[in-house]
Amino acid sequence: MRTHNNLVKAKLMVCVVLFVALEGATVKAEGLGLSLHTVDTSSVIYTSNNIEVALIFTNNSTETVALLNHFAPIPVFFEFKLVKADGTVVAVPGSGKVSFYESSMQYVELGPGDVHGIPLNLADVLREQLESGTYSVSVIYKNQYGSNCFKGKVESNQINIQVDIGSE
Amino acid sequence: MESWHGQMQLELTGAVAFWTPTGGVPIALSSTFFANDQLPRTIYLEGNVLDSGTQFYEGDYIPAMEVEGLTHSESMRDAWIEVEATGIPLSDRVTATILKADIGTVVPLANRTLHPDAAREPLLLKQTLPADWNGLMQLELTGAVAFWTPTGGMPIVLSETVFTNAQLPQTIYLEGDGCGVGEASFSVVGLSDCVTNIPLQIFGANATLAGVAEADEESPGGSIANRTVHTNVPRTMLTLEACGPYGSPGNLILTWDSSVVQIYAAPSGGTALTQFVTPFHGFNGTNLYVEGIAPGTTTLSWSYSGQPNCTDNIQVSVVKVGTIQYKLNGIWTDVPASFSDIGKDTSITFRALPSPAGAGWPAGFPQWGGDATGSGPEKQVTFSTSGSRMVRVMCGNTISVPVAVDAANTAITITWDAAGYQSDSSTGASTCVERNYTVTYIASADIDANKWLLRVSKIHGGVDITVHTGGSRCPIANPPTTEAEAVDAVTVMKGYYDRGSRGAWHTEAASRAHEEYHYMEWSSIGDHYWPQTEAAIESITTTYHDHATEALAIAAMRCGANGADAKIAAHNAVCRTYWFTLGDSAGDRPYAAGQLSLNAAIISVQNLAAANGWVVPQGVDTPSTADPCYQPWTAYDP
Repeated sequence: MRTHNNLVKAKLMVCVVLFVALEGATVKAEGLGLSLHTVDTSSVIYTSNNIEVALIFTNNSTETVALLNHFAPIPVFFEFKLVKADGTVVAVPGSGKVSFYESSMQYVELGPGDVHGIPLNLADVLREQLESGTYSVSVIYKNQYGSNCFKGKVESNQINIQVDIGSE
Repeated sequence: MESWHGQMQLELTGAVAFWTPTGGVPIALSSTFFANDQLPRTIYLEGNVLDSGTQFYEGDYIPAMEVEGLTHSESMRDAWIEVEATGIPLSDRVTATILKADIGTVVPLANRTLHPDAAREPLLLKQTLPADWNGLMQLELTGAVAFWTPTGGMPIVLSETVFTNAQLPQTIYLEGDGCGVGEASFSVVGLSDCVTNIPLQIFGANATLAGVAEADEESPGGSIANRTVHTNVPRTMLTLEACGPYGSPGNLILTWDSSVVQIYAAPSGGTALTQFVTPFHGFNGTNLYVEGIAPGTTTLSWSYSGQPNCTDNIQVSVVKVGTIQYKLNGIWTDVPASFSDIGKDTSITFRALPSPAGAGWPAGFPQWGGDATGSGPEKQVTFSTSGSRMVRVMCGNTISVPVAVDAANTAITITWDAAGYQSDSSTGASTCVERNYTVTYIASADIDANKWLLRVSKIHGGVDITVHTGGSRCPIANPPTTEAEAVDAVTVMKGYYDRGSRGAWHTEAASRAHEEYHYMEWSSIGDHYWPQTEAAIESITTTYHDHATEALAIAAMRCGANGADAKIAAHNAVCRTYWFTLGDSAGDRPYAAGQLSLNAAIISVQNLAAANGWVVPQGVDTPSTADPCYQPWTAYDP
């Protein structure tokens, strides 16, 4: 996971992509939408150890939705699907369990139309060095923990990213 | 038989008979019979060639006369016969032309069937004399066929062919037809006794090597094994025949290269012949026996010295194995130095090519060995035994091809590695996170099917466990010091299962037990779905001829939307989906596992309390952890 400073920086970027997210394709589940974005609306070339993306939760319902405000470890809550241009699937750990300390769970509430951005670096969960090329990326957010919050899965849209290991 | 009274009859050619020595008329023999009682009796014969100037007297019988030319005319009608009377000027004259048909000579002919390549022999049809005779000639042949040209063309149909004298002389070309003596007759059309005949001599020499058709004798010829290597191979019979006019002079001669083959008079034993020469006269055919002694090619040449074209050649090759090829995607390809990664119970189709190239194989050769059996130029070999195998092919020499055959494909189970474990005293949630599966593949070749078959040789799975102990006091390492602390410790720890979270009193072991229970869930799920995944992976193939190495084949079979990596991803997906259905809250099995571990700490505190006279809650809860995968299995079709 990124540092606090990076998180602040990422949140700024999330603000930038907010408008994109509101107009972009989202997948609805119980009123909760999830969209996946690069950190820039223009084409971004990544290195294999720096693949920053932004996840935007959007409350598309007319009621307040609570999200468990824990998003790490990434594989516990996010299952990425990373596919090379030829269809080859890149393995990314995408599941796990978490045991909370008593009364440590926190929540973030999204009113109707509210959004919540999560910056992630996909490179943090990759276990292999990516080759240069174009990849499609999508992600499933899933949560089975907490009370009175969203539990279940919601899948994002798919985006394409360009990786150039020569630029590392 | 003096009492016999029959009649006798006389016939004469070349003479006429008279009753008296002089005078008289010739006896009309066709109507004259001689009574046996009157015999013996003398009559008088006179030659029937009339001299020029012969006189006939009035009243004499003048028989019909035949005219015979003695020498050909120098010009047309320069021969004459005249009759004239004496005493009165009365005469009559007829003129004639004496023709002379003539043809040249011809050397002995070769039998066209036995020696189809023998050169045709010329025959000159000479002009009939006198040269200004403008008539037609015809030719008849026995024992030969005539052609207009030295090579090619169709035989002249002599029964439908006449030769105008003006076009003569002309050379035609003969091929012997049959054996022995024939004849060429060149005659004037309509005057069949004006003919010139010459004899024709037709010879043939025929050698036959057992197993070699007449049409194959020169190409591809016959092939025999090297008997110095294959000592049990029988000699090959060579039959020698000859035909021609009886009693003809000259010899029949067989030649060969004795560095390649040896020839014997007997099918076994004996001494190799150094030469074979026999007079034509008296030769009635013989059998000789050939054996190969060194790789190479020679020509057995059987000829008649009297007619150079009377030669029958048989090419004989003492064959060895030149190369081995295998069928790759339907194309014969030279074998590599060795084959590797061959699937057990798959097959490769081999063929051996002889040296010299183009030669056939001797009967029963080549012979195959190692994992191949039998004989013949092609052999499909199924490799039913794993390990280092060999295919051998033999014919005078031996060529071997090593073949490394993979072990039989068997079902693989997932090896679950020890969980990666780390702990610290920081606060925060403990976690159990899946690791990527690490899969080791092999590719086995099924060359006849032109396929690489993907196989899983190993698969490892695991998780990483992180335990944080911050915020919890371990009652083992840091026991309660007061009754109140002891009561709190027992109460908090006993409430772990129902609370579903780590409390102020807790142990690292309990947290670890909780997370390791998750690992058990994960591994049980993985084991459940793995056989289907393995079957799906091992149904993946790729073409053999496009991928030179196992590594390239594996790379090809892993990639793509239907590749092995995608199958592993599908496996992950179903495992994750199922794992998500398993509860991880208060009262769920992972907390039961943690509770069972925590009970040891509870009992420790209870014992401490008892020792100190403190009153603490008694007993422990023992919730069941049975059947970690208690939810219905998710449908899965990789």
